[in-house]
Amino acid sequence: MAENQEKESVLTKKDIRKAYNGWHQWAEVGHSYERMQGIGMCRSQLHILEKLYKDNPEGLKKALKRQSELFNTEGCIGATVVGATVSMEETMVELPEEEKNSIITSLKVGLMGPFAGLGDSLNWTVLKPIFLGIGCDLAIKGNPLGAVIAIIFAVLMYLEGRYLYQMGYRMGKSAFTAILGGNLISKLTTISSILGMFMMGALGASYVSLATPIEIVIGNNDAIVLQEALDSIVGGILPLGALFLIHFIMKKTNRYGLICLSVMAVSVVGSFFGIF
Amino acid sequence: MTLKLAIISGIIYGYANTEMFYVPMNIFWLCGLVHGLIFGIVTGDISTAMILGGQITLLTISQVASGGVEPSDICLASCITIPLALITGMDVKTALPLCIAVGLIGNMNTPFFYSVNNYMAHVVDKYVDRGDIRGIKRMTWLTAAIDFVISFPFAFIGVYFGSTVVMALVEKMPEWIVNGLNVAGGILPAIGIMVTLKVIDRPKMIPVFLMGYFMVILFGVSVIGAAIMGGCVVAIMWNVSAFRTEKQ
Repeated sequence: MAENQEKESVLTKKDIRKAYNGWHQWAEVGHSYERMQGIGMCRSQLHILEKLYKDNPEGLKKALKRQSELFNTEGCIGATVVGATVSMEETMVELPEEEKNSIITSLKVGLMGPFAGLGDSLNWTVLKPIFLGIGCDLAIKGNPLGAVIAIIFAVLMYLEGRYLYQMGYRMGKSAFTAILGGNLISKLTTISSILGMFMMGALGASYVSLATPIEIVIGNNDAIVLQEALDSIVGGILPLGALFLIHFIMKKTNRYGLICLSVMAVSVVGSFFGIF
Repeated sequence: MTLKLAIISGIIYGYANTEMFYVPMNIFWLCGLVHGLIFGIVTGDISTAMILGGQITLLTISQVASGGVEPSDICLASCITIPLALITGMDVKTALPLCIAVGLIGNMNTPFFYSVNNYMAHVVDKYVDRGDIRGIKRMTWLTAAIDFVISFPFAFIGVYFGSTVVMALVEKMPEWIVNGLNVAGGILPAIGIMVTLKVIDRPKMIPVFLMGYFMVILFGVSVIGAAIMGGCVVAIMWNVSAFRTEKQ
């Protein structure tokens, strides 16, 4: 543990916790194209840098500068990088400025990308739809518990970030190899992706609706109601068709707004001609 | 009531745009469920508000905060559409297309906020160069305050003046347009779902998607029921040798 190796650290456990809460509070404030989360990153470590460089105003300026440069990662899994950065600032305080700058900056910049990728793909692409899918299901039945599910997800994400931040702090640089090197994450992502696919199928069946009033008249008075004919094969063919048509279109283009508008246009035109 | 809802809507949108507190901010930013609960409590019609919030969220369920394409501003869409639908008594399925329009328009203001933040970053830099910690603290609070103040009117005006416009529109719309919008409201959730499939990006798992789909269609299981079944299957797979890569 880092605490044992350090002779006498000026930072208390409370300072370390405060830096995570600071990160959680300020990460995205003032997000801009040029600096992204840089200002937030610097803001969350103010109290730590202030303590470390109490008698060294020049070092403080350099440290503030170093931490306010461009930084961008995901807030929860990416907090590992923040934790490790705090631990490096603490252990390297005695190193010469030049050396310290290059080590800390290169680690920060080199690892923010991979961790952002992990966080975005696990937390927000896979876990979020699973949780919010359940939340939506409750909400669409008019149940306020739907919002509670969203809040539970938020709390879990906060705790995940806090755990990984502490881990990043304890292990410093070695945290990265532990997380990026092991195959636990890839296994976790695969498994949650399967659950995610399954959930999306269930959501699609529950909430995508499409039916046609078309009747095909044969001979005298016999009319085949198209919808009944389709349902006799298997239920839900038209919605499934709509789902995969959209799936196909999305392979060609990324312009989701345009797809939304096209769906609306096709629906209204179809309604005018009595297809839907 | 319209004024009250407009102010609350402005506050929610303003808070979301300060982007303070990563996780709650993302919940306001990426889904309409909590918006639904808040507007529901204010108007007393929790059930309708939750249905609207749920529909909006379903539509945009796969949006990711950072990187990639952000199709629409879900927060503004929820902040404007839910109160409007509650005030005008609009049908849920008719409200969805309105929601998309608002979301698309709302997304256009992102560069505007980023430019303001960019300017503020340079202001903060001056204090960084001086090593003035209290100054940095003040300026970051100021950035958040500015973001709040400039985003408040977007939602406020949308709700306060939107209700009369929408009310007039809904009354004059011919039957086939209303029906068409209802049909669109039925198909639109497919977009959110299929974007999720695209970002998960595992084409070989399409059969798993079909399993979930037909489980609900054929056996009438609820989504939560399906989640439990899926969770069990996945828990079994976790221990199956094909996935056990680290040992043996």
